[in-house]
Amino acid sequence: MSIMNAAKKRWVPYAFLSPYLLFYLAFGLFPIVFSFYVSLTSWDGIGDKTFVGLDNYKFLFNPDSYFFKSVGNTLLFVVLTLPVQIALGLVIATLLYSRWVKWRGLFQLINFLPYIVTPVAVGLMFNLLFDWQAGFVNKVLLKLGLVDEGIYWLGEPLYARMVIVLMLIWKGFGYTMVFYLAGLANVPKDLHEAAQVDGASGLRTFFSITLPLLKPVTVFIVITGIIGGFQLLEEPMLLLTGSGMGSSVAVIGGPERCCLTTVWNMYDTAYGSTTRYGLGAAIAYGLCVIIAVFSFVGARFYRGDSE
Amino acid sequence: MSKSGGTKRIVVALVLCLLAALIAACGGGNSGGANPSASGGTGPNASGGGADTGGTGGGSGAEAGSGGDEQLKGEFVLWTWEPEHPTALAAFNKKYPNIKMKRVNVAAEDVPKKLQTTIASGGELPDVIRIERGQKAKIFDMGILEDLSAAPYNADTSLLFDYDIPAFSVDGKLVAIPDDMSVAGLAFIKPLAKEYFGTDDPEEMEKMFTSWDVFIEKGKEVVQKSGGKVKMFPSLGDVNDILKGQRPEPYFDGNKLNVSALESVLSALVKFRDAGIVDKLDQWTPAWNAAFGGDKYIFAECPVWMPQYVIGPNDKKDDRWALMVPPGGGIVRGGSSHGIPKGAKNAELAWKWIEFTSMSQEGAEAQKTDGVFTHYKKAYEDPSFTNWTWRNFGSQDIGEKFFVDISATTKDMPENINDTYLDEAMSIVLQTLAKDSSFGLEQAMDRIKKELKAKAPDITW
Repeated sequence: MSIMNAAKKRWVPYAFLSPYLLFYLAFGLFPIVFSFYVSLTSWDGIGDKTFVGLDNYKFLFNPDSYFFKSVGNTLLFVVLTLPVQIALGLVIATLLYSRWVKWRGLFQLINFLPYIVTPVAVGLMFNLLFDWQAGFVNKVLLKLGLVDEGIYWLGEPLYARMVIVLMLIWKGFGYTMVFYLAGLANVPKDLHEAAQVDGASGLRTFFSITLPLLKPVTVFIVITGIIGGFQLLEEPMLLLTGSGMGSSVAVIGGPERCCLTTVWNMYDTAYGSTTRYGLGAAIAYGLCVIIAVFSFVGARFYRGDSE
Repeated sequence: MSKSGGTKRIVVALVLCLLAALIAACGGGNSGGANPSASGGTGPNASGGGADTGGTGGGSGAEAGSGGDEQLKGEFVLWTWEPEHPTALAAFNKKYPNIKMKRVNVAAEDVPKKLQTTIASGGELPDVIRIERGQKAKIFDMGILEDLSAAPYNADTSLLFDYDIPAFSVDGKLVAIPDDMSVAGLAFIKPLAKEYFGTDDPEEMEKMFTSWDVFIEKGKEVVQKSGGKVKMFPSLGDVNDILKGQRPEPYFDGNKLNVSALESVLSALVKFRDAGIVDKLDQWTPAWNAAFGGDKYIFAECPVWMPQYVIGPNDKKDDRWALMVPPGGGIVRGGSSHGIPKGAKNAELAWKWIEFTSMSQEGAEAQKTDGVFTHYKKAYEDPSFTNWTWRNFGSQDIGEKFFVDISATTKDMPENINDTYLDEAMSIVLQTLAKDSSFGLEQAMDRIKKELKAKAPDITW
C-alpha cells in the first residue's frame, strides 16, 4: 500500500501539471529544438532540407554577412537610448513624487502614453515627422531659417540613427518612470526625514539615499532594457520602409544598413528579401546566445546587489 | 487499489486526449498537400475535384468561349488583395452559375510568406493565387505553380500579348496568366513641355525625344533655362524603372549575373545623375506623390494604373498631362497575374475563372467596366474597346496610346529569384547615387556585388 501511495504521490503532480507541460512541449520546446535543427540545414521552407552542419553559423562570421553589423547597430541603439531613458524616467518620477507637482496622475498618464502606442504607429508617425520634404520637422527648421534645405533625415546614416534613438527614448522613458515611481514609494520616508534633520540638502539626499535605494529597480530596468533592445524590430522597420507600397523596394535596414537590427536581419533573411530559413534560424540562435550572455551578466549584478 | 487504478487510467486518457488534440492542431488539415512535388501533375482532371465539382473534366482554351456550363459545380478559393470585381464576377456567374468563388484577403507582399508557411505546416493551399509583379519571381521560384500551357488547362498563349509569354513562363512553362495591363509610357505636364520644348503634342514630343541621350541634353537645357527650378524626373528610381524595363537582356541567366546589361543601366543612371536633370526624391514618399500636383518635374513614368491611382489623387487640375511613348519604347511596370498551385483541390473551377476573366472577350469587357484592362489581345483590335480618357489627360485617348502605340513597342524580360535580390541592392545604390555625386559606376558595381554575396552566395558574374 505504501508503495502505491508513493507511486501516486509521484504521478499526481505531473498529471496536474500536464496541461502546461504538454502545451510547453508542443509550443515551447518543440519549436526551440526544431529551429535548432533548421539552423543546421539549408531550407527555403518548401523543398527538402539539406543538412549543412555548422555552415550557417560559419556564415555569421563571414564578412559578407550582416550579423555582426546588425548586432553592433542594436547595441548602439541600446547604449544610446537606455541611459537617457533611465535618466529621464528617474528625473520625471522624482519630480512627480515630490510635493511640488499637482495633478500627479495626469502627468503620470501623459508621460506613460507613448509607451502604449503601438510600435507600428510610432514608426509611421516618425516617418511622417521626419520626411525629407513633407515632414513637419524640416518645415519648422526651414520656417525658422535654421537650414537652407530640408535635412535628409531618413536617407543619411547618422541622421537616421539619431531619429531612431529619439523615437526609442520618446517611447521608452514612460516605462522607466513607472518603475521608478514604484521604487520611490518603497523608499522609507524616515530616512529622508533623518537626512533632513541632519541638514542634508535635497540634492544630497537624492544622491546619497534615494538613488542607492533605487539600485534594484535600475538593475531590473537595465536588464529588461537590454533584452528588449535586442528584440527591436517594428519601429525602425516601419520608420524606414513604412511609406513604401506595393512592388516598390525599400532599403532594408535603412541607408547603408545603418539601422539594421538583429531581429530585422533575421526576419529579412527568413521571411523578407530571402527565404533562407536555415540562416534565419542560425541568426536567431546567435541572438539568443547574446541575450543569454547579457542576461547572465545582469543576473549576476542583480544577485550581487541583493546579497 | 482498483479505485486508484481507475483514476490513474482516466488521468492518463485525459492527458493522451490533450496531447492528441495538440498534435492534430499542429498537423494541419491537408495530408496530401504538404509537399507540392508529391502532388504535382494534379489539375482539373486529376484532382477529383471534391464532392461538388461535378467531375466533368478540364476544358481547353477553345472551350472557354463557348456557352455557359451548369455542370461545373463547386467553390474555389482565391487569395487576393484586390477588392471584388463585381461586373466580372456577375458575368462569370452568368456563364457558370454553379461555380462560387471564395475570396481570402491576403496582402500582395504577404502572398509568398503565406504560401511558404502554409506549405511548411502542411496546410491547404488555395485554388488560385493573385501574384503581384514585385513578388512574381519569388513565387515562381518556389516551383509550386501548375503549367497552364499543358493539359488539362491548355492555355492558348496566342490570346495574350507576345511579351507576356517569356515574362510569365519558367523553363518554357507558362505558370501564370497576366490579369491587369501594366504597360508603361511617359507622361508629361503639358504647360511645362510647351514652355521648354515648344510643343505639348505627344506625337511631336515622340519625334523630338528619339533617344535617352537627346533626352539628357534637352534636360540640361531645361535646368539651365529654369535656373535649376524645373527638372525632368523627381526620382532616380523612376529612371531606373524605365531603363531596367528597357534592358535588352535579362539580368540573370540562372545564377549568372549579366554584368554588361547591369553596367549599361548603371552607367546610364550615372549619366542622368551627373546631368543634374533628376531630383533626389525617394519614390512613394509623400513628397514624391505631391510632385504630381506641382510644376517642378516635366516627366513621370506612367503605367496603366498610374492615372487612376497616382496622378488623379495627387493632381486636382484637369487636362494638364499628356502621354507619350518613351524613347526606347514601352516597359512593363507592376501588374498582377493568376496562378494555380499544384495540388489545388478545385483547380478546374479556378481555371475557368482565370480563363474567363483574362482570356475571353466577355471577360475583357466585364473587367473593363470594373476598371481593369486585361491582356486579352484580340479585344484591343476594336478601337471602341481601347478608347479611354482620364480627366488629368484631357481629351487624349490614353487607351489607344497605352494599348496600341506603347504596347507595340513594349518588351518584357523573364526574371528569377535573383532579380529580387538585385532590386533590393539597387535600392541602396539608387539612394547613394542620388545623394553622393562621387559615387560612380565602379562603386555601384562593387556595392551590388557585396550585397548579392550577402543575400545569395550562389550568384556568379
